[in-house]
Amino acid sequence: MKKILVVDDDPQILEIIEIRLKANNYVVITSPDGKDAILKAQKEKPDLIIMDIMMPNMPGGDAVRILMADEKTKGIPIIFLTALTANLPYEADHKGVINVDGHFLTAIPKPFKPEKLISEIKKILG
Amino acid sequence: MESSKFKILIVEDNPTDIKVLTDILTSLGAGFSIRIASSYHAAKENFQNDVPDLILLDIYLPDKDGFYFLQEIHQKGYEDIPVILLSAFSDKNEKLKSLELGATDFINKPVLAEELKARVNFQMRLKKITDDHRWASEKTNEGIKILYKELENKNKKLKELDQLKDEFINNVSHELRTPLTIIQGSVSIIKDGLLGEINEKQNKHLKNTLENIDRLGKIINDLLDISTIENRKMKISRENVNMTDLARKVVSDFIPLVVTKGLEIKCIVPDGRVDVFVDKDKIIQVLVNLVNNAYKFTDQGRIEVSVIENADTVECRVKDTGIGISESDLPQLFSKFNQIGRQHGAGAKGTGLGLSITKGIVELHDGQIKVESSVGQGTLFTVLLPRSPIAKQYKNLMDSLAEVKLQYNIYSVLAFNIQDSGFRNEGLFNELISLIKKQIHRKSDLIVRDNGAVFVVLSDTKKEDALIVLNRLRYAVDAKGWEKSYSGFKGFVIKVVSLPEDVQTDVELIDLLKTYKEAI
Repeated sequence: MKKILVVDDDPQILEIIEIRLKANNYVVITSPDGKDAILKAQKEKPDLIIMDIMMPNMPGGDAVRILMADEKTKGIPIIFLTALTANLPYEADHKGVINVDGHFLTAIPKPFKPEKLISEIKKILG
Repeated sequence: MESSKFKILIVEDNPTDIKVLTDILTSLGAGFSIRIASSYHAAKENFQNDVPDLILLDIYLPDKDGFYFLQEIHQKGYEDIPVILLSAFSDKNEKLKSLELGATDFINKPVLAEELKARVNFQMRLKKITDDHRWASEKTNEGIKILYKELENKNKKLKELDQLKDEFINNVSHELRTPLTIIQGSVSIIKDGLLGEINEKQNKHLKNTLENIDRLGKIINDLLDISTIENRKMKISRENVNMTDLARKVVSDFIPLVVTKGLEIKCIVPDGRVDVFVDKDKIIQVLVNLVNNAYKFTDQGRIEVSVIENADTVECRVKDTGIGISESDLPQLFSKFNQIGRQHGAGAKGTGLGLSITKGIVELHDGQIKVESSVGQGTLFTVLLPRSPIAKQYKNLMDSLAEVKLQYNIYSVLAFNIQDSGFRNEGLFNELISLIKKQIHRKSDLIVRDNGAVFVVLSDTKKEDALIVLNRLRYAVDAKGWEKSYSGFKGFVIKVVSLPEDVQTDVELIDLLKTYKEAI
């Protein structure tokens, strides 16, 4: 079973995502902020990380930069899940990309439809 | 204040006359101060110490004559100080000369008391009127200044409020999304039976809940959109877009929805590509908005989306056979929060922002949106987008930049635009190009002509280095003095834009060079 690390400072959001992902047969680890997420990613080696952006204790963007630079975590695919959609382009299927230093990462705006999240995950994990 | 007394300067050397004058004046009352100067030099000094309100001036003085003094104070700018000349005035020419030199009045010697009193009184009244007038106008000016200051303050406050409003909308949009995410997530978990089975009735209500959560999400997006458009903060990132593909995609996305309502939807596009240089996502948003409107307000018949290629524009039309818009409603159609079709059925739910957002996006692209409609017949929206304006006008430059980009991610572009856009001369351009060639020695630097301007693309060149090249070229161009040899030529406007210091993309770069040109 594939392992997914979900990072969000809101425990209720973590909970709903966890239930949804478990129902789709993924193993789920959760983390409340960027710093903790880096430690968990190094330790647990997840197959995918779902990352919020606005969080205390290191925002998602910074955490992603560190994860992408770290040998142990640089290969892990990342999806942003964020309410900061002002800089996300509009698309008919509610999905965009965020450019992190030239790496274009999938970004799903909040609120999100569960089927969108699952289909984006499946695109990456198969 | 000293100025409350009317200050009279008597310039007279004859002691008898001085006595006569002062006697008459003191009999007028206490409202005076009288000073006496018995020579030109004394008068000059006295005048400089304290400018009087009236001068009684004898023409014959021991050192210089009165005319000289009169002329002198006028030259110094004291033309508004009244001067009454005192003389026997046996000579007509003397009077004429006095007038020419700007004397206010004459009094014949020997002085008659009544005459002097009348003249002085008149000057006093005149001064009072002038002073009152000056006072009033000063007060008015002060009042205007105060009002202006108040206006400025109010304006500043309004701007601050406006910014607060923007921040508020941004924050609120963000803060609303988080709870909405949780509500949506929780409801969908229940609805999908992840927490246990639910019955059909429960399912129906949960479905309604989700639909309305969706609607709320759209309202938040719309609010954010309209606020970024209104504050001119919406950015468009242009790319080459094939409008026929785009129209087909939007139409095919709508087919399931439209068919369920029993409507027909058609896409009429020319064969082959119709390219426009636009922000793809935003133009999709425009089309989706228009087709969605057509869908909402059409109960039977069809929706037609067509793309038409004109010489300078690409036209997108969305036509429906819906309820139409009455003539009286048309003017407010694009205003905010205006829901003209609200009374027409439950399908017509929305924020009332869709069309103002649509219009805003079209105008950001320098395009136009038009509407024609008749009640009961249907509505036709036409969007006109300028055809690849930048890519087309600046094709050579775009191509050169594409070439440079293969090797370098730092470069600067110098632009030579002619100051008066009406002036065109091939000879001048050729001269300029050969001059630039002499000044630029690196093989990797390119000289390009486009849209009536000459561009120098300096690869691997930072802004600070580009400015040095710019100065060298400016000097060389100035030395040529083309303004003299080409009539009508007023000079070049030379600008430099660097990547990445000024801009991030080529289109932004050209946009900036273009605005420089338009700013002239």
